[in-house]
Amino acid sequence: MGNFKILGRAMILSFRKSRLAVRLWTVNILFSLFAVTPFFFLIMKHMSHSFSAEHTLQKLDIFWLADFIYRYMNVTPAVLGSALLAAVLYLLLSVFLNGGIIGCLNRQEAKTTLADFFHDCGLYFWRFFRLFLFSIPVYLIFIGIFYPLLKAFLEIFRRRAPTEWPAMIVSNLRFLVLVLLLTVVAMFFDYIKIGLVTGARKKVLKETWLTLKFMRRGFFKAWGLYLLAGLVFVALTFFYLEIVRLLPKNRPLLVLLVFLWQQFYVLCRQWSKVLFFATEIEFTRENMGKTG
Amino acid sequence: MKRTLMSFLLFLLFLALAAEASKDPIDYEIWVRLDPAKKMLQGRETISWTNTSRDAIPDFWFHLYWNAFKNEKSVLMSEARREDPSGTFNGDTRVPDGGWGWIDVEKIRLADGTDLTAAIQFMSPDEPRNRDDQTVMRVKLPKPLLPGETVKLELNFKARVPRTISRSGYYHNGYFIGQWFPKPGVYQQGKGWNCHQYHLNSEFFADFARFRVHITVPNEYVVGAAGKETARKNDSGRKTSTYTFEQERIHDFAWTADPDYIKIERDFIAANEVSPAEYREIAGTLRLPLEAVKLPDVKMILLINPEHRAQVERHFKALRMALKYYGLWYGPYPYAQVTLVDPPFRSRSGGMEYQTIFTAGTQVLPSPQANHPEMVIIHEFGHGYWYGLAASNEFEEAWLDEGINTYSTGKVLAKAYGSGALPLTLFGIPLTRYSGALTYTDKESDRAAAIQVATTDPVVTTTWKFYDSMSYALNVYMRASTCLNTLENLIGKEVMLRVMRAFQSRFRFRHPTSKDFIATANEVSGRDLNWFFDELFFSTKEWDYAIDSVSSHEIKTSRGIFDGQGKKSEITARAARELDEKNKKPVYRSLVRIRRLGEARPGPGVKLKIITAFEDGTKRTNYWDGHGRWTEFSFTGASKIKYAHIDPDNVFLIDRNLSNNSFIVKANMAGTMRWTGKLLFWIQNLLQFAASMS
Repeated sequence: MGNFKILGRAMILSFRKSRLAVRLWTVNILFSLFAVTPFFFLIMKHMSHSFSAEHTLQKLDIFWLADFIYRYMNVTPAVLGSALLAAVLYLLLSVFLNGGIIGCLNRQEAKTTLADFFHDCGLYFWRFFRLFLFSIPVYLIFIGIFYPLLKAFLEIFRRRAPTEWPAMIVSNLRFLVLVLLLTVVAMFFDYIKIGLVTGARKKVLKETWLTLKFMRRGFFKAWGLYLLAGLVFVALTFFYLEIVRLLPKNRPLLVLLVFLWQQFYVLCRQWSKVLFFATEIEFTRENMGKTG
Repeated sequence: MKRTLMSFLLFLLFLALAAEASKDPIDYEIWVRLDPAKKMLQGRETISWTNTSRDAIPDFWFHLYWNAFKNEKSVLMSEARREDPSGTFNGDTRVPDGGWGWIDVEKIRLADGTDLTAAIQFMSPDEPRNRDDQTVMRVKLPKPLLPGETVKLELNFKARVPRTISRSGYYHNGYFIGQWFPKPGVYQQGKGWNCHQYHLNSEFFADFARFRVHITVPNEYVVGAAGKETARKNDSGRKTSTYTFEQERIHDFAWTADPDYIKIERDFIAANEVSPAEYREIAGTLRLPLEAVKLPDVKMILLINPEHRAQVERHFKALRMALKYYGLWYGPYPYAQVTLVDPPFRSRSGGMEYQTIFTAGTQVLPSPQANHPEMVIIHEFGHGYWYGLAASNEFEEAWLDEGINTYSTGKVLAKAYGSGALPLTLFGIPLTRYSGALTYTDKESDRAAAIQVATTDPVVTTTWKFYDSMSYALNVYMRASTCLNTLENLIGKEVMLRVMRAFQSRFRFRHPTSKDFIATANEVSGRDLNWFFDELFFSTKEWDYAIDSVSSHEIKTSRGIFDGQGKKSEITARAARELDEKNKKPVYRSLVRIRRLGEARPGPGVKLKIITAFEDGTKRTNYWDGHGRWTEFSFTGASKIKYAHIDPDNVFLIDRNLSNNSFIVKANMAGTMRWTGKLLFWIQNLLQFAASMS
């Protein structure tokens, strides 16, 4: 079966299990609301009793922004530290939720309950957590060793570029290579997770070895499929950006409309995450028999 | 009629002053040959210098700017390393091996043949002393040069072109050559030579001169330079071409050469650019005769990289706008031509001013919504007025050119283009299409930067004595510009325009100082503005007034013992309550409390305006001299306060916190919700990105 057909089947599967995206969105917004609350009070204190509030409804008022930065510049390290902490906590939460997503996608029933979802989250958490710990050094090797080596190699061409275009192309190539490297690593660990769920295995290292064998035979097809799913996400993002650009924002009701559109985009992002796993499950089902 | 006559007489006086200033004290003739293989310049220079002071001058001082790039012990390099040891921020001072530049004076002699080479000394006039620096050279003359006498010097020099640093140098076959020849300092009567070393955060200062420069380059090079090309000779044997450029009344000479330049010439035809109504309007505002504001035609030459060919029209339009508005507001452009250079790739020479030639800078994919490269073109052209014509000392009072020109750039941009978008790019690809909410004028962005550095250094600070490069840049460019915008708000747009025009006209072809600017502002505005400059230019005081609190309370019947009708009677709590209940029309006592949070204060005769608005739609206007630490205004009436606003017209744009200038009693949550919602969205996406690693 071709990649487009697999992608089509994965889309059907992800739509059939669309509640998963809603659950992920709910967790995402609740966590984000918790993170944004201090800023809400900060912004409210700084602007709600000032005429700046009226200007900022129309557009980002540079005067107000400058005042805000001037006043709170010193708390930047604390904000960045909190953001990092929130990102790490959310990462761990995602490790937990991944079990629920893949578990539910793997279930034959059309509808899965919240109880099924959390059951799968709990069931696979320790396996996925061990895998997550194992993935950290792999990511570090790719980002800290492979990429700098490649970057240094490309830098030779960038530095020697006689004109602007080649320099820009090499710079962008560097970024593209980084993204592609990360997709390879992310895809590899996704397939291990799927193997752990579909094969109902508990040994992470053994599953890693099996996935390596599996990948060896169909790596480029699997990667192509992963990138295809990635393109769906990119297309969604540009669609969101084009629409949001057109929406006027100078009335409270329109601000609400923009907010709803933003949340719809976040929901789509969650759906695209489900889609990635769905394509990988479909690909595994398709090729399991062939690869033995 | 009387006013017109006075204006005309003043105009004649300006012409007379300009004519007096027209005698250039220096005459240069320079022959220079570029050897691209060795990255060398071989030069010969004759200088005719007249002593216009009343002093007998015993010696002659020169700038040898390129020696700043000779090694890491020069003043410029050591300042760069001290501030930024890794060279992260002053990237071009990280010189690669083989990329150092220098200049050697091989021989210097008088016209009669007297050799002065042995008398060459390197000087370090600036504190702290750096004896290793070779950017200032002194030559003792055999006998002092008497007032009115002219000395003729002949110099032979050679220079290694640096791998671009501080906007001079080469990359591949592209060259931008600025500050490249031995250039005399400025002799100041009674003070001696003003000839500073080349610092990290300093630019230049020189006397007006007549230049005739012969530049020899390989045939394939396209050359652009200050002044007008008057001759070109081809040497088929050596496969070189020699270009001759000439220009009077300029104080700097830069040139550029690159085989890939596309050279395009157009004319600025004043009649097509400025309508009769515009002439009449500006003449009326400036109170000048119509003829005095008429603009001349100017030849515009553009040297542009082939990769930027699609941006030719953007470049010419920006240059036309600059010629028009600088011309109308500050006086006609006095030269016959101007050369705009889109500098060679990686020559890092973009955004730099020289007289009659300047560099812009763009990229292959510019953003259509952002005012780039227009801002750079207008700004660097504008330096032709501020630094070029009004030739202030950039070493000592950089705000006089950078600050005034940043202010002027903002005005031209706003007039010709309006607000621009933040030039958002990702890996060189413009994404400004998606940053629509972030549009701003230069006035707004300048103020955003200006408030960050007020307490670091005064605007008027010798350039190398600023705390760091950031303080230098933000103070002399943005803070000075914001202060000038504040001044404009204070004295009015038209008066400010007359101040600027008078300053430019009086000091064209001269070397004005901050004192001259202040004196002009005082005289033309008819006000004593010394306080303004003392508070905002010569000190590190911040300006910040705030509405501290706003309250309205119903006036209740007072309890207690009261004398009346020969006896004492008590109004009890119950009696007071009953009286209040009977009263159908409550009366409120309202209080607005204002604080001065900054150290800067208004000067004599200047009052801060405070508007207090009430729920019934009435408004009260009060004024405060702003001298105390706080004040309050109380009101009694039938309505509660809706809001209070100090300085509602944003006259004092330099205020470090405009948000606290107003206080609305009933909170307006729409803006808060919008930006919290946006922040929430960004956090959601950031978290989702983090989750992709799980």
